[in-house]
Amino acid sequence: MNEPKKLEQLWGDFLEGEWTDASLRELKELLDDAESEKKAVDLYQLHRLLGLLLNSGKSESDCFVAETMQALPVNQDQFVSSVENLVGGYEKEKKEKHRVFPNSRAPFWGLAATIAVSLMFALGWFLLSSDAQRKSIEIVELRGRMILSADQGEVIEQPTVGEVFRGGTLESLSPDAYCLLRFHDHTTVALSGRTLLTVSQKGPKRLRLHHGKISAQVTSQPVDKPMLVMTEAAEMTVLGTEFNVEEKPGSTSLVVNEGKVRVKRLGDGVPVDVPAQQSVIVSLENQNGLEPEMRAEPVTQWKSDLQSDTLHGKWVSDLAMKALKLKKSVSQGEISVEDARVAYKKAARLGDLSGSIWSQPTSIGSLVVLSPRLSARHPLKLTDQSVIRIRGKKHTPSPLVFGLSVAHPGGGFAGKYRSKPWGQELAIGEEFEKILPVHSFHDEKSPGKPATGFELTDWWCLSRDSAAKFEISSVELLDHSIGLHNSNADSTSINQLVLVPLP
Amino acid sequence: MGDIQQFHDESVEEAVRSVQTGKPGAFETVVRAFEGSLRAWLSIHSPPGIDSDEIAQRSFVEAYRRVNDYQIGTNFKAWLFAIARFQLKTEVTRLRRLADYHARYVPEFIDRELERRAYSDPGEESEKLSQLKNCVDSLGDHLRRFVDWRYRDEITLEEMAQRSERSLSAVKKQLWKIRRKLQECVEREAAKAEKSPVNYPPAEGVA
Repeated sequence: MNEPKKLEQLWGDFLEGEWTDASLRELKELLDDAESEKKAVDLYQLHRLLGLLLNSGKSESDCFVAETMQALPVNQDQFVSSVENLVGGYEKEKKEKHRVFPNSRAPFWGLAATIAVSLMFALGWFLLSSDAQRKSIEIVELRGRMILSADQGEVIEQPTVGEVFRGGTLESLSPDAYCLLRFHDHTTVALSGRTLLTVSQKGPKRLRLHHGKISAQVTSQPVDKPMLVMTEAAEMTVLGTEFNVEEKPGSTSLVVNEGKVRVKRLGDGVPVDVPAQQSVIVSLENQNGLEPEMRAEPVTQWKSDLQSDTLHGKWVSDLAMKALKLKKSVSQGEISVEDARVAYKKAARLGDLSGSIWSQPTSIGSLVVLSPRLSARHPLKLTDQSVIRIRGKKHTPSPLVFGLSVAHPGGGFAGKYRSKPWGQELAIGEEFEKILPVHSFHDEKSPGKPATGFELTDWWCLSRDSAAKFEISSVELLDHSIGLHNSNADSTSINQLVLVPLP
Repeated sequence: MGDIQQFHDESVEEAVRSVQTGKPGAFETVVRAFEGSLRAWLSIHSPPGIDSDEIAQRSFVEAYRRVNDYQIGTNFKAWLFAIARFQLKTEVTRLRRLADYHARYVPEFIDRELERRAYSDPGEESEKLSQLKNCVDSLGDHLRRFVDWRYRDEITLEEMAQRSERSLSAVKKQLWKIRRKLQECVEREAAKAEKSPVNYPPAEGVA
């Protein structure tokens, strides 16, 4: 291919957002004279003008005018004056009309005005709806509880598959919730677990992740309209790629599977490019280096760090529990204050590291959610040898359900798996230990599909009763070396396991 | 000056006078008169990464704030575009300060050339838009559909390939051929307009 054609092709790719670092370098080399640069800028301007010409209409113009008028600063005097003018003008117009047209003809004009308004409304509706179709977002998969606050102010409790909107806020309320959105350009964004996401399509696509997790597969975006994903700590610029973002207060975790994402830390504006198979954690608290890391090799064992891993639930240390019990004993006269003090000091010397996560009520029940990705440096791979060991205590009779959220290796959401409900098997007020093979968890959407082969992203425990109380003191992923070869085995038949020690 | 242009200028001046005397609602006439040309001008002079509509809105708001500085009887359009030029420059400068974002997403020459054009173009984008519309309308249906898919429907290149039953690279090639064809057409139209100057009425909108 000769140079001008090559230049034109590379420049076309640039305008379509289909460029790589190599093609950009080649492009810069070819743009070595004023004439080439002029041609390239001419084409860029033509490209922009085409976008404006074909993607605008009268309704869009009206919107711009209305929004601009709303944005004007209005002082008090001007406001009063404008209202007076408006009311005065209307009164004057009304009087003039009455003078010109006899009363007997008023119904005719009323009818004509009604027809005119109806026609204008119908035309406006047509224009708006055709525009809406072009920029629509459709819910294509949904499970769990969800609320959609569309940008027209409509609040839809539990939208259904096929619901179409242009922008707004989606909130998934349950840990097993999953919602897949498809944009008009086939970009898909999946919300997983308890997530709050605002989507705007005014200008480029803009996503604001308040909390929770999203996975996105972004088709090529125009170079002048990259998709933006914003969190409390970071701003991500995306031209077409596949990535996962997880947001917890003050910290954003990004994993890129394909392509490249540019991340800017909002605290100091430091940017970094995160290429495929790498990840970065952007924190508002830690403003030191911002280096992407290679995606670590998956491991098959993990022990929860309850203080770091908790997404939902309340950390209560054993020391705090001890203090509570001593206080109660003192108030009931069982021990003296001095004895309580000595006992507390003795317990305090042992440190304050042990404890448990207590369930907290939500609208869908009482809940604890842990995210291993918050503390584990390696992805956690589930194999057919994997078991989950859970320790805790149930304080109310309601049954507990344990669950796993899993993702494709290095990729997006793969499913939500849950155990059978555990009711009377767990005695109230007594510590329990359950060892559940991963294959005993099932996905209601795909009953035959095992969780093995996927990566563990969340572990959760739920009681449907919001008033239920339980505590979780430990969760582990273990790789047992003496097999659970009997596929019917569940925790009740696994009493003795030889466990591979944790590294 | 044509009658239409004169009528337009008088309407704008009247509206500006009303705003200056405390009738903010009259500013809508001003916004309607210039939104098409200003948005078009900003659209083609903004480097990638800038929301030109946002700059257009900021420019109108700034013009409204300073409306009492405008001297009736001078050139409101030139005054408004000077404000827009300043707003654009401010935004470009802000972007330049964002580490190397600018260097990656905006090849330096685009930035430089767009800045040069922003200070030399007279603000005749309504005319360019009108010429481009003629050129797009003159495309055959087989080419027009690609333009509609890309710029009106904003579908992906992959979907365009599916719909047209062509390969992805053939679609890309088709698009750049169409752009070149349109560019040549616009240049021809511009040359014709120079030979027989016509006073175009200002665009009512961008459609």
